[in-house]
Amino acid sequence: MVETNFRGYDYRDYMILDRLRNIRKSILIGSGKGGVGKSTITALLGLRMKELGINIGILDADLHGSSIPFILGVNDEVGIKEVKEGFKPLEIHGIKIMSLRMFVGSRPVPLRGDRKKEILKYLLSMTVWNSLDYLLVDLPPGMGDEQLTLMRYLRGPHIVTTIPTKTSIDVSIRYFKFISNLGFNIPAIVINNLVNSNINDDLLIKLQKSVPVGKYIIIPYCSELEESLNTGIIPKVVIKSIDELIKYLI
Amino acid sequence: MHEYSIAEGIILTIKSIMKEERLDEVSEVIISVGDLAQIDREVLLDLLKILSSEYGLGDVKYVINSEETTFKCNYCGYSWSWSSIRDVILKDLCGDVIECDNPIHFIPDLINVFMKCPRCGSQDYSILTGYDVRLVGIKGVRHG
Repeated sequence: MVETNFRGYDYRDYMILDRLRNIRKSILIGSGKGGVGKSTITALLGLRMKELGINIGILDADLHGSSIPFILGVNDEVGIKEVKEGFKPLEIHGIKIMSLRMFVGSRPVPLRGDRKKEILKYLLSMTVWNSLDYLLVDLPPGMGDEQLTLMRYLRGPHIVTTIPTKTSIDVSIRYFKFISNLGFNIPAIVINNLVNSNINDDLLIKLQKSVPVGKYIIIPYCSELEESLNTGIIPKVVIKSIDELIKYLI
Repeated sequence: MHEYSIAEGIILTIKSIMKEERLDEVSEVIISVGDLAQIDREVLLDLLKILSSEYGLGDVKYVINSEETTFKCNYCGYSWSWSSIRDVILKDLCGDVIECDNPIHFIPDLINVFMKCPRCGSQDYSILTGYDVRLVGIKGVRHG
């Protein structure tokens, strides 16, 4: 008989594996820069996939700027609800949503990196999604603690988002290299024309040369996008692009 | 009842370690609980015993130690404990000094959102001790 003492285990790691077991696939939506519309693309994808009869959840992983409930029209401080096994996602327009906003409301969230890692582990291990076809993960901008933590557990396809400006495309190329090196499948790059600019061919050529992915999808400018998403409606002008993106994801 | 999900997580971990390490039984599990997590230790212990039986773990001895949570401000260097400020924070979050289902109970790392350094008001401080619920040790037995 051998008696051994085991140390250094984090119970949440095992819970995360258990909780993710009933999620068919995760899709990560990221970018190197902020303000390029990751949350908007996530919300559009969620609404459209739900319309198509797909069972969808969204993890709002932008801890400092959690905004998915707000984008989808829930402006009140809703608070976190619990079921026996953990945190109950909020349901908006038929989509299950977990967001730090449910815990902190509109308060600022000052966090150092190690703390962010722990919070994400809590959200992953304690959220009771039950079964989902797809979990969309709205990542914060950057290539730091949040991305590295989440990519350890969620290995689904990764969408790179950018706006059609030189600076954003330059950073998105670096972001692409970062996630490619981690072995992620990048089925599409989304160019979100939220600034309503003429998309410069030179920029697209630079992007296509540096980032060899299957598809580049341009989301056309839509002045009423924010108001439409608040009511759970996808503006007609963007539906075609979102449907095209979905084709590469499922 | 955040204690239920924690107990379930601990049991899942024990089951996985038994499989990974090819253990025949687990004799003792030592758990450390920081004050900040506001965990009811008796409830946690009862749930661990119930779930041990449900998951077929047999007679495991659970030892739950509590640890004082202390902080140090990264801005002014001041140190303080959770117990010295607990009532003020809970009154703000729960409307009373009695613990309730509040965000810090669910995710202790959110403390920086709800508490400031008592000396300089900074929200940039570190947790020195008494962090959360931790599996400190698992004693396992392998026959033959």
